[in-house]
Amino acid sequence: MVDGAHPAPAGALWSVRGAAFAVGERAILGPLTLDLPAGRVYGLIGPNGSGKSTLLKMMARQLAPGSGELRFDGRPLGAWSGRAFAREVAYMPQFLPASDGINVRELVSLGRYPWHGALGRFSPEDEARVEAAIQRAGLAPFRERAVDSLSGGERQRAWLALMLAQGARCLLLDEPTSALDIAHQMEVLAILRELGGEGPDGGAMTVIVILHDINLAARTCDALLALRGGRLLAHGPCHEIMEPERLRAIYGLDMGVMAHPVSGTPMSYVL
Amino acid sequence: MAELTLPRPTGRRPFHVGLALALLGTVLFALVLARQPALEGPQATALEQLLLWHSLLPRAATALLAGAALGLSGALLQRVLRNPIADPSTLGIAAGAQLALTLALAFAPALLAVSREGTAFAGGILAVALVLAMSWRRGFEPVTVVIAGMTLSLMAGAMSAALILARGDYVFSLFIWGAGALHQQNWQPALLVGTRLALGAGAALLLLRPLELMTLDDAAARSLGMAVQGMRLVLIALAVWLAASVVSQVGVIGFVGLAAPAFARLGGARRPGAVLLAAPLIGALMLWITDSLVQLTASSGGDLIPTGAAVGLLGGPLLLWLLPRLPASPARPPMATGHARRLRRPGRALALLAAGAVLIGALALLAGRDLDGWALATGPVLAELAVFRVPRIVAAAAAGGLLGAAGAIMQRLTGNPLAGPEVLGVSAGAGVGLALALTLSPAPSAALLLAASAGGALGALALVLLMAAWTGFAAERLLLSGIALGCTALALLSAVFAAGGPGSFRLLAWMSGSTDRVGAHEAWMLAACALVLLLPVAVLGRWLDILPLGAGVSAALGVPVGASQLALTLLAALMTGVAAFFVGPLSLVGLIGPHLARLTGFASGRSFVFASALIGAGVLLLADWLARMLAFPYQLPTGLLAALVGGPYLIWLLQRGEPRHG
Repeated sequence: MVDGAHPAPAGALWSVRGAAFAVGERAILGPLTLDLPAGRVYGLIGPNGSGKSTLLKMMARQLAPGSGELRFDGRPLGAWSGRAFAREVAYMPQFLPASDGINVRELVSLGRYPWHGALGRFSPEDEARVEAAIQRAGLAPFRERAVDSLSGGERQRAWLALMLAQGARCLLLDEPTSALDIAHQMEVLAILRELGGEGPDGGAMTVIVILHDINLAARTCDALLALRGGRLLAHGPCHEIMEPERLRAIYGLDMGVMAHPVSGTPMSYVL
Repeated sequence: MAELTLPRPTGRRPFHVGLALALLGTVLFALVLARQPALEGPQATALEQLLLWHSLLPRAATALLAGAALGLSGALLQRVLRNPIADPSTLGIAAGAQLALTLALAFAPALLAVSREGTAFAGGILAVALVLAMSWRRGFEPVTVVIAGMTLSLMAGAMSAALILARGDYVFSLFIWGAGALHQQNWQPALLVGTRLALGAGAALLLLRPLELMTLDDAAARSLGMAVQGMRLVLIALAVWLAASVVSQVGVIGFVGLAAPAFARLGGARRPGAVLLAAPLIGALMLWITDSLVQLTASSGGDLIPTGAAVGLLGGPLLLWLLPRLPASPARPPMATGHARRLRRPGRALALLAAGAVLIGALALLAGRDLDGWALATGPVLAELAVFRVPRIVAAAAAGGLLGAAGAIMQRLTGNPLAGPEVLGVSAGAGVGLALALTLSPAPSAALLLAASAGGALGALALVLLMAAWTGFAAERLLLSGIALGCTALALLSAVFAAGGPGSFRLLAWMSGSTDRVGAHEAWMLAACALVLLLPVAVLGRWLDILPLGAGVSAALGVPVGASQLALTLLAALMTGVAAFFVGPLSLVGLIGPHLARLTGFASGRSFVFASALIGAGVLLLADWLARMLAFPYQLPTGLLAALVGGPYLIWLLQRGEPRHG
C-alpha cells in the first residue's frame, strides 16, 4: 500500500496527492488531494477555466503535474510504461482529430495497439474485442464507413468504441457530448452509465467524464466532483452536490433544485 | 482567418526601436563610405565624387526605395488576402516576374528593350492569377494560397534553372541578378522604383477606407456596401506592380514583404493605416541595413553574396522566430481529396501498381528514338543500349520510390496532406549539404556527396519538426517553418552560385535534376539504399496509422511518441537525401505520390506508403523516359520534367479540393 502523510484508502483506484499545475505565475489547478474508488461513474463539473480538463489530462498522462503526485492502482503514473498504462486507462480528448480516410473498423482496431504493440500479431482475440466494442457502441451497420463521413454522434461513438477495444479499466472522457444534440448526448451517456456497472472482465469499470450540463451529469454519474478556480469545491454523491447553496458556490449563480417529475433525480434550474 | 496576435508594446518603445534602427542604418552606411579605399593621383577627388554620386548613393537609395516598395506590397497583400504569410515571394509573384524576364532575355530580347517593367509585371500578374485561381474554391485560405504560390515558385525556378543550363554563361549572370544584387551605375533604377512607390503609396492612401473594411470578412464588408472582389483585384494588381517594378530593377528580394508588415504589427501598429505606413519604413530600413552589411563584408572582388540572398539568410531565422507567436488554428486543413474512395483489396491494387511500374520500366528500356524515328530495341541493339539505359531506369525508379515513400511518411508524421520533402525545405536542405561538400572538398567522391546530401536533408527535417513540435504541429506553422527553411537554404545556394566556379555549375545541374550522369555503380548503390530504407516501413505500419491522429491520442494508446517520430523522421530524411542527390530538389514526386495514393484509396499506413512509393517510381520513370525522348537527341533534366508535369497536376488537385465550410 502507499505510504506517506496521506495514505490512500484501500481500494482507491486513483489517488491524487497535492497535484498542482501552473502556467508561468498563473495557477491553473491548485494543489489537489483526492481519492477515487473503482467501479463508479464520476462527473467532473465546474465553470469554464476551472481546471477540469487540466485534471483529466494529468490523469491521462497528457500533462505532467507541476508538483505533487498522481497514482493509479497504487503506482505513480510515471512508473507505468506507455503501453501498460494504455491497457488500464483510456482517454478521449475534447477535440477529436481528423482521421484521414480510415473506416470505423480500422479506427477501433487502433485501440488494440497497447496489447499487440508495433510489431505484434493482430490476434483472433484482438479481432473479437474490436467486434465486441463495435457492437457495444451500436456501430455494426457503420463498420465499413469512413469515420470522417459519419455524423457527430456516430463519430463520438466510434471513438468510444476505440476506448472500449482498448480493454481499459478506467475511461477518461473530456466533454464527449459537447457537439451533440440531446438525443445523441443521451445515447453516449447511456453507454457510459451501463459501463459503470461492469468492466471488461466482469469487474466494475471506472468512468471519469467532464460534462457541462449539470442535469445530465446528475442523471448519469454516481458522484460529482465540482471544481472552481482550480480548487475542488465539492465531492460527493449527486444528491449532495445538487443543492442550491452548493450550486451557487460552484457557478456563482442563484440556482434552484427540484425533483425530476418521473425519475425523481434532482434537477437544477437558474433562478 | 489567422492574424498575427502579438504582444502589443505600450508607450513609445516602437518609436524608439525604429529610431535605433535608423541610427544603425546610418552608422553602417557611414562605415561603408569610410571603407572606400583612398584613391591617389590628381583625379582622386573627382573619382571619389563620381563613386559617391554614381554608385554608393544610388545604391543606398535603391535599397531604401526597393525595401519600402516591397514592404508596402507585402502589407497590401496581407491585408487584402487576410493572410499573415502572404508576400510577393510566397505568392509566386517574384518567381513569375523573374521567369518572364529570363524567358524574354533568352527568346525575345527586344521585349526587354520595350519595357522590362511591363514584362516583369506580366509574369507577376500571371503567377498571382494562377495562384488565386487555384485557391479560389477554398476561399483563399492562407495555407492553400501559399502552397500554390510555392509550387508555382518552384516550377518557375526550375524552368529558369533549365534555361540557364541550356544557354550556359549567356544567362548565368541572370542568376546573380536573380538573387538580388543591388549594384548601381546610375540613378535610374532608384528613380523608377521611387516613382512607383510614390504612386502606389498615393493609391493605397486613397483606398484606405476599403482596406479597413477588409479587416472584416467578406460577407460583413459586402453588407456594408463594398464591392469586395473588385476592390480586391485592384489592390492585388497594385501590389504586384510594386513588386514587379522592384524585380525588374534589382531582381528577387524575398522576405522583406513578409517580414516588414509582421514587424510593424509586432511593434504595435494595429490599424491598416498604421501598418501601411510602418511597413514600408521598416522594409526600407531592413534592406538598407542588410545591403550595408553586405558591402561591409565584401572582399575586393565583389560582394560575398547578393543582397537578396542575404535578406533570405536573415529572414529565414526571423520568420522562425515569429512562428511561435502565430496563433494556433485547431482545425486541420481538410484533406485535399475529401472523402476519397477506399480500396477493398489494397494488396491486389499494390500488385497492380507494381506491375504498372515494371511496365513503364520495360517501355523505357525498349522503346526509344534513334535518328530515323521511333524504334523498339531488340537483340544486340538492346544489349548495347542497356548499358546506358538500365542505370538510368534503375536510378529513376529507386529515387522516385524513395521520394514517394518519404512524402507519404511525412504526411502521416505531421497529419498534414500538404507536407512533402519539397515543400518542407528538406530537399533544399539536401542541396545545402551538397553545396557544403562541393565547396569544402576539392574533389569529393560520390559517397561523400551522397552522405552530405542525406545529412543536409536530415538537418533540415529535424529543424522543421523541432519548430513544429515547439509550436504544436499546427499546419500553418509547420508549413511556414518549412518555407522559412527552404528560403534560407536557397539563399545559401545562391551565395554558392554567386561565388561561381565549377562547383556552382555542378550544383545548378543538380538543381534541375538531370540523371544522365548516373553510372551503373551509382544506380545499384541507389537501388540498394532504396531497398534498405523501404523495408522498415513494413514493420512501422502501426505507427503510421496512429501518429496522424495527433500526439495526444498516440500517447493515450501507449505509442512512444517521441521515439516513433524520431525514427520515422530519420527514415524520411534519409530517403529524401539519397533520392534528391540523384533527381534534384524540385521534382515534386514526394507530393504527387502520396496524393495519388490517397486518391486511389489506400488508407492503412503501410499500404499507403508502399503505394506512394510505387507511384513515385512510376512517375519518375515516365519523366525520365520523356526527358530522353522529347527533345531527342538532347536530354532534358528529369527532375525538372517531373516538376513541370507534376506541378500543374498538383495545382489541379488543390483547386478541386472540397471548399471549406461546405
